[in-house]
Amino acid sequence: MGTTGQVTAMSYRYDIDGVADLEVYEQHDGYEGLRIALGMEPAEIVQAVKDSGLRGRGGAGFPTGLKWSFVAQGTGKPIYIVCNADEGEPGTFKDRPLMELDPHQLIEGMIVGGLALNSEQGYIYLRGEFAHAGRQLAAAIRQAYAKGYLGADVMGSGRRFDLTLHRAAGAYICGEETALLDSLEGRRGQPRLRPPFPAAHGLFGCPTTVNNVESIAAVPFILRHGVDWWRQWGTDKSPGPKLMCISGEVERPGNYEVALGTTVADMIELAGGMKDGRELRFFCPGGSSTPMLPASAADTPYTFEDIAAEGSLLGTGALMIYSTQTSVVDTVLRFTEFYEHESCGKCTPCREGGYWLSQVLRRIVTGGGRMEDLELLEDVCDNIFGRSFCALGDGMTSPIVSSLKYFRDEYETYIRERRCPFGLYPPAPDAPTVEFTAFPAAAGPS
Amino acid sequence: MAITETTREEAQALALRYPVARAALLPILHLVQSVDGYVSDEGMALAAEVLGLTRAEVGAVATFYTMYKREPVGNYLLSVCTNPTCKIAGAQAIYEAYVEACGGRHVDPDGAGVMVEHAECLGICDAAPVVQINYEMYGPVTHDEAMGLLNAAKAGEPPASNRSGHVPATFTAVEREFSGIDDGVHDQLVEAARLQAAAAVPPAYRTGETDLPVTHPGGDPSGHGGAAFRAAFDTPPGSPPAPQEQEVVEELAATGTDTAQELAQQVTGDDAATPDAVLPAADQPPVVPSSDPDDATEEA
Repeated sequence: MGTTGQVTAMSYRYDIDGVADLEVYEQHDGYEGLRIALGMEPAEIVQAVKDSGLRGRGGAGFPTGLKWSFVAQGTGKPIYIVCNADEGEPGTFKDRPLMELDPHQLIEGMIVGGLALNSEQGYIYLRGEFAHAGRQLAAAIRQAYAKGYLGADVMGSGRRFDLTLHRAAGAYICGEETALLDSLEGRRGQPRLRPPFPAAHGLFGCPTTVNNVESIAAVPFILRHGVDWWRQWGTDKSPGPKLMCISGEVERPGNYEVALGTTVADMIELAGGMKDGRELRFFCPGGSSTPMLPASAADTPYTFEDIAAEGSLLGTGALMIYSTQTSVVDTVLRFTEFYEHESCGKCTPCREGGYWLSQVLRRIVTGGGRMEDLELLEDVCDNIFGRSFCALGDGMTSPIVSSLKYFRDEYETYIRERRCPFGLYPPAPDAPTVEFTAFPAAAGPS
Repeated sequence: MAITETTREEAQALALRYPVARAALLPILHLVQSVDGYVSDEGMALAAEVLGLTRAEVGAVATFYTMYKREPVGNYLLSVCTNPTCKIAGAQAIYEAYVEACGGRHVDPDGAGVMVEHAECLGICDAAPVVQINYEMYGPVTHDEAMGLLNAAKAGEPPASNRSGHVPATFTAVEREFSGIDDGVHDQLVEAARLQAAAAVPPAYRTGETDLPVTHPGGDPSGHGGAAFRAAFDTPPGSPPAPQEQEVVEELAATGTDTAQELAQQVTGDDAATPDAVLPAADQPPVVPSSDPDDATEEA
């Protein structure tokens, strides 16, 4: 394993005054990766990304170079590169700061990606609520066009690359790549059946790749500094630096860049330790859809493979830290309500399952739960996981299944005492148990 | 304000930026909100007319996304994140106090006019609890500061965001920005779209290519696709891409993750489900249609 701990690699321009401006960006190595890419064959760029071992930073961790190699060439259709900037996984806040502070970094990555894939058109699908990021990107794109980095003749090379900033309208599901493509085409953001994969039939039926902001922004760095530079951090299977979002009950929540392989405990220290000296109870390693882990797992090195061995996922790098003062069950309820709200409604397990999971959890926190509800929750989750159309359904079950595995005693306390032990909800006056015989009966009109 | 001829021209301009006009629907709905302060029936009708869609199709999209409001917002929209990290930092109480301050409603037309809503994770958890005014971030805020933001918005004088340093513009002005109409690279994007639409095989779906409905199989009324697309539609598509499948699968297997295995499997199964590959090679047995119910939906 390479060095661990805090590093300054992809975030090194964050503190430079005015770096969102093209001139300042150019003074700090800006568009050097693009200059190098223009001297390379497309296949060489893809190979460099493959060699770096860069794994997708949007949650799935799929190797970026490999994904690029799937994109169908020579079909006579335009090829599209789409940047997934629909950052919305609860706990994640790494792409927005990158776009706000150093927008040219993403634009440069998009152009390099275009060269690698023989694509002449890129789209940045930006989460609608990110007003400031949109403002920064729009201004940077104007500058890049004016100075000839974008357009018909990229840096005088004769290559064309155009870039469209497309602001979305608020739907978590559009972070799923095929739902994103549907949304970009002006439809409801619902995931598509696969195959065919976007690499062959993506945007407008054309070969398409969809990559996360951080993945795309990493590529110019890899070309500029070399594969060995990138691989000095992390492990063989999880190389490189990672932009981390550390939030929750720590003294200094924020964006930190660390080498992959740094332990969770070290990252908590990096963020100033636990808030007010509280005691760590549980954490979500990569956002709300990654199974939560107990404090005993805090010494796990933060890599795709080590977190997976603990039974969770690295996700987006959204490390959410919670103490013994925080209710697991209430946290799970709020996550579940999030997924209930964000389910696109396309498939039944997710659409109906989310509704029922919320109902049962709400009944438990307000003092009306029954012990059988715990098996009921597991049963409903079992009918969602692996049976929903896309990963949103799977993500919905993660907090519930993992919390029942590690913190079943807290659920039992809620149910046994018929109240929230943290005093978050008033106990029902007579703590009635809601009659709840079967789903169809309870769902029908009374 | 109401939809005018200018709105129509701007909507048409947005459509020209994309090789397939429908892609402009989300930007056009932002434009509509910038005129009417919400997605009005007239606005949806305009979008439908400009893009050659039915009003039902536009309505289906407009009601899917959180940021499209179906009632007038007023000048300021206040969004309180109530996801766990913000919640344990006090956001739930802020949201409830907002609703109470608006008389138990979500819209308060008095003064400058405000709408309050609870939002899902706004992607700024290091500043919990977070409030947005017209999508400018404020955080971390105390309960009193949050109430101060509401009062300032009602008075029409919201302060600058402590994150971006920007004073939020009114809702309609922000929505105009979101439409992208003033992004300043219009001509370049129109030219790019024109070039793509003139590609050897222009962007659009052929029937049977995916499970998506083909909205305008012969090119849409605004001229996108058009003749070039029709020609491609009448002739068989070029030889299917053959991305060195064996090599790809071996590499996938080497990465060793579950996702990779799964994808490798699906990539090898891609042929049978891709219309391009339905015609078997001469020395291969015919492809037997799959009995998998999922495949049946491909006919759409």
